[in-house]
Amino acid sequence: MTKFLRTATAGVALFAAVGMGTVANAQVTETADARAEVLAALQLTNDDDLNFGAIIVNNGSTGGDVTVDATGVRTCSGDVICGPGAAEHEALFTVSGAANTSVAILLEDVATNGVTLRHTANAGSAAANHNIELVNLTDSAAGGYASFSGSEQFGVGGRIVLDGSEIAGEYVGQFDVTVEYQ
Amino acid sequence: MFLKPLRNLTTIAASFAAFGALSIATPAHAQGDLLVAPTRVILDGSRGTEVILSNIGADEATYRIGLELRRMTDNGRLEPVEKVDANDTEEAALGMIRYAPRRISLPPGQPQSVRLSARPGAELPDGEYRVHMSFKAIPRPTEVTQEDTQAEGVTLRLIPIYGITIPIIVRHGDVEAQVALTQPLIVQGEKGPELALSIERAGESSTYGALSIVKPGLPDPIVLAGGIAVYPEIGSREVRINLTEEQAALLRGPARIEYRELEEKGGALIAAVDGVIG
Repeated sequence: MTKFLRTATAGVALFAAVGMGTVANAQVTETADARAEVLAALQLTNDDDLNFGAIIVNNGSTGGDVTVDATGVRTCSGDVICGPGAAEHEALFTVSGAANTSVAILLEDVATNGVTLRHTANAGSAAANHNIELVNLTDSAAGGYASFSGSEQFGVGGRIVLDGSEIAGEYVGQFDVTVEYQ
Repeated sequence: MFLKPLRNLTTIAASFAAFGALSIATPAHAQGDLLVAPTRVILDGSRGTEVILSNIGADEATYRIGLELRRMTDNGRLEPVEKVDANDTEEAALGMIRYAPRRISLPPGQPQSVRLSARPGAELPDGEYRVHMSFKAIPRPTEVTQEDTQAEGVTLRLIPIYGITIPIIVRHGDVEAQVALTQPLIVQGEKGPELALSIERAGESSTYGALSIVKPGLPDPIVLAGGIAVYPEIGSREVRINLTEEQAALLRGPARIEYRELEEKGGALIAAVDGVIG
């Protein structure tokens, strides 16, 4: 269970509240209200990045897919070869909040919007050999927790499509993960 | 000046890549971890409030605070709605929320308040208006060094932009809701038995609370599912609660299902149904 004590940050507000209490009761006896507001909090941390590991694309490859599922299992299909394993893994996030609530996980709709990993030395280039498409994202919690335990770690996997012409270098892309409270 | 030698290096790397391009992603940097409190805001009248955003990561981070739209579906999921597709109610909700700041840079461990208030227009019909406030870290631009390119051949980096959304609910004028529960059933779901029932809602207001199932003679609820909202855009929400086999066995027979406000709001009964679970 995650709680956030507002007085820890809002010392000024607490002081004001105490002051008002004193004024209201200033006639005979001095009483002061001490107030502390405990707030339910939700927190999200990123524990690991989504890593597709070593991928082998031969010269003249006709391209293919690499999938890392939400539990980190990798599969390569088409004319790309999964390199030595071990480095690949799913992105990991930990969400903490009040237990027994409903927490949803919203992944970016990459199937509709499309996310491109771009070659960093050719920023802005739309050429096929400078771009890799991220076409799918999945999460291990199947969209969220109907009865949230208070702290959960979930994985996010994805699928990239290579056309086989990609040049060497670093490809960078971004995707959105949102934890939603209702 | 800088790009040319880099391209040369890339070409060298590419010929190496023809035999076997290695892709190694960089380790997690966990920049942008965040905490938001409270997790739900209800504004009625002109008094504002504040939401606390705290950087719980190890590095300084910059966060963007925005307003988004969601619509609840019959099964209780919140579906994103683009602002161009907003209906009149959603449009009004977006227009009345004032908040600041919209961008915050925080060192690790540092919290800051986001002040917010609602200014409904004078002609606005009574009702409940809602937006979802999002808190998201803005990734820092990364620098590519020649060493990186030379050393690693092909690398893939997928940077998650992650955040939290919380509902901001404005109750304008007289709003209320009538709520009823349907008879629950035990059904077989994907992960085992599930309790299925619907919350029927009418009126302008949403409801929020916990569902509990108590058996006559047993003091504690057998099932407790909290944080269940039914928003005004739906008149009926289907609820599915995963059960263990023991819970399913215990539940059969007469039982009472209660939908109550949260304990911190006083725990008042919203709706209840007595029945026999089959």
